[in-house]
Amino acid sequence: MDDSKFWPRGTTRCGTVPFGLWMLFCLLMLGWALVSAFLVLYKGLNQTNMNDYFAFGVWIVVDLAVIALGAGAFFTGFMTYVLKREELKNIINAAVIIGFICYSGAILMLGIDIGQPIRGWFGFWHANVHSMLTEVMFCITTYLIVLIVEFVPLILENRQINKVPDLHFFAHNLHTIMIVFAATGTFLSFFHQGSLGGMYGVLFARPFAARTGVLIWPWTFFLFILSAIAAGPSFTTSIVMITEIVSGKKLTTQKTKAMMAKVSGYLLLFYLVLKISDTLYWAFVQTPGMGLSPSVYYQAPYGTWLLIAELGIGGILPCILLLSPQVRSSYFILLVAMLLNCFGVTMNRFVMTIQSLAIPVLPFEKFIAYLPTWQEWGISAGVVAYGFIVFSLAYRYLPVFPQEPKLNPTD
Amino acid sequence: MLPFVFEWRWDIGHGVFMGLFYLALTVVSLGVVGALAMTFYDLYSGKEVHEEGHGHEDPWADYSYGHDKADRGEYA
Amino acid sequence: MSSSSSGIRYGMVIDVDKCTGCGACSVACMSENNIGVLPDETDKVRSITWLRVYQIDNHKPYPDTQIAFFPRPCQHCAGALGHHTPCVSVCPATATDRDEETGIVSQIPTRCIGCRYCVAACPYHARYFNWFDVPWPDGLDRPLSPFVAPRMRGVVEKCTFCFHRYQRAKNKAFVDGSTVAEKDYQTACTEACPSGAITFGDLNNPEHKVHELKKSPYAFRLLERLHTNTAVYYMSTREWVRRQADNYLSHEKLAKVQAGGGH
Repeated sequence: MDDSKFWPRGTTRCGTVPFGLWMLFCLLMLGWALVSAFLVLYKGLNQTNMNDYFAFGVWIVVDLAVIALGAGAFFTGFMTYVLKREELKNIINAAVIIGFICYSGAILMLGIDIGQPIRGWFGFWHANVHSMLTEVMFCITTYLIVLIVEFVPLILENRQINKVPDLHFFAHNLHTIMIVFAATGTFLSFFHQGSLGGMYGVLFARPFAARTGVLIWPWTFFLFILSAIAAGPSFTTSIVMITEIVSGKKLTTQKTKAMMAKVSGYLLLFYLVLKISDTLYWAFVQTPGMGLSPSVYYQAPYGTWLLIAELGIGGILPCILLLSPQVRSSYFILLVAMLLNCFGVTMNRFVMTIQSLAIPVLPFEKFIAYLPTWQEWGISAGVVAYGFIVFSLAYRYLPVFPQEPKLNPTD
Repeated sequence: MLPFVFEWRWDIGHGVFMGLFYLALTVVSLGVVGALAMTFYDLYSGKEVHEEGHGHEDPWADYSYGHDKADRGEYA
Repeated sequence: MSSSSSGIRYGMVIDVDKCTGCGACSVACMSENNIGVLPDETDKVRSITWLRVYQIDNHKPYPDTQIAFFPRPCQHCAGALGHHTPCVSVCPATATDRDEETGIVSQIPTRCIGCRYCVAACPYHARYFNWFDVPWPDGLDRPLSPFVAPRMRGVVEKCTFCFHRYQRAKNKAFVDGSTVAEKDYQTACTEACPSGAITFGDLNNPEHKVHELKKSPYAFRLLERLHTNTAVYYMSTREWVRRQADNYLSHEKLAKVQAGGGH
């Protein structure tokens, strides 16, 4: 069985048997997720380890993390179509697919997370416009629509589908006006990345999460945007590099990767300067002002190692690496640096969610810890499996990397 | 049950929020509709799909990514 | 300022020195409001206790140990400027709202989508999520009160200051052609307390008992420093009790209580 007529022109792909086995593995992971989802929807959220102290759990952490990592889609789109960085045309398709996976995965996961999924539309119908979560809901769903519009031309450019004239011209025309979607996507993403941070900053009754800010926006609004656009390009490029390692092909030039790394590095530097300033103010001015000392925030198992992991190993270290031209012209060290950047932003989302909720506010309440159940891990694994499946199918059948035939000339 | 059933008060927040949201939706919808319209125009003006074997070195050389029109300053 | 169009702000003053920790208030609340008993009530982090009685002590060894009890209902916060309740401002579906006329923070279980953002926002842990569908087997549904809707799983619930009793009192006042009297609207927990530790009424009405009680120099509120501007005041002559109502650094002195207990 040979599906080579569906492959993009001038490329080769592995045989159907190894691909089929890979898909089977992913489907098994997805099966775990479907069993978990069924149990949660049928029996209720008592299938998780969330409780009235941990109202948010691993799913919210994964949601926030994938949305931050998926920021590569809008920011690369912004740089490609609005700032006209030509080199990035070679990676924008991959960024869009990754963004689509991240956002659709996050929305699917949220459908399981809320107590009444069928009522999810109430957030739109009975919207409380003063809530950050309303803003998040509106912008994420609208941005997913934008991502779909950006993804559709790529699907229509499959070698066989593209032969149909209607679909060929539709894809071409969507490409022509792509800047409109990229600009709208940038606007929407700015707001929802920020609102996700704003969600924590406005909790003025939770000293760990609360922040002052400017007008209606707490500082976490801006910090979340910055950390997302710093990590997004890293995540996109890391996925591309992992695909290169697995497929044994060169998919983009070192120049493209280096540009993404440089953008990541400088944005990460800017973010870290602001984040560390904010952390110092929060720890030594705001927190004592509320009658607490920072040591109250860091108790086992959520100790100060979290701060070192987030800002040190996941922040300062990848920043130094990504700013170094030698690292940007290397391969494996560059990959490690980018993955550490992604790790740092994931740690930040974890800390703002789980550590926030672990800390008691009333002096006579307890500090408690949280560990997810297998059902919660199952849904999380499902999002990953979903991502593997979509990206693998896209890479196999769609012209994701324009430079691929040129960079792999034996094909 | 309509959103206005209890204690609803229009304020500037509603105007800004809903205004921007529907503006974004309108832009995206118009973009998609515009692409559809251009497609119908292309089809009925008798354009043809480029087949394989053009002799290009880069098989994706004919994809424009909006580059041409942007260079002409149409989307400044 | 607890500004409202009618000038009414319902609230409580709870005398911690009178509270024996018997829990009658908590039980009365559960009975009045059709609160479900979970299949496994040992898991206290999922138990629904709209009014929960906390036990605190002064952290001193015997023989200087003293204990006290804090009954903690929903605090019905107004927030700074009277319209920034921590939970109301974050709900995406407007399923909770602070009533301008009474100052009571309501909860609409039929509108709640179960996102639990309000549960995360509340520093008093006054909000509870229905992690389970509550069964009412073997006739346990017979003592259910017809005035309060039971909640299904997947929605948040909390103390409503027995709002159904307010509605009943308002109807009675309408029929009588008068206003709601203090004795006509009392919460279930207030009525159940055997030592009279809980007093409920209109904080702004000089004729109501709570109006005077809140002015006591020993009156204080929980987490005053967060500016939640709660409607529930506590009273205690014991300084160590007052000190556990808020977070203080070890060198900080207890905040001087203003006459009127603040706002």
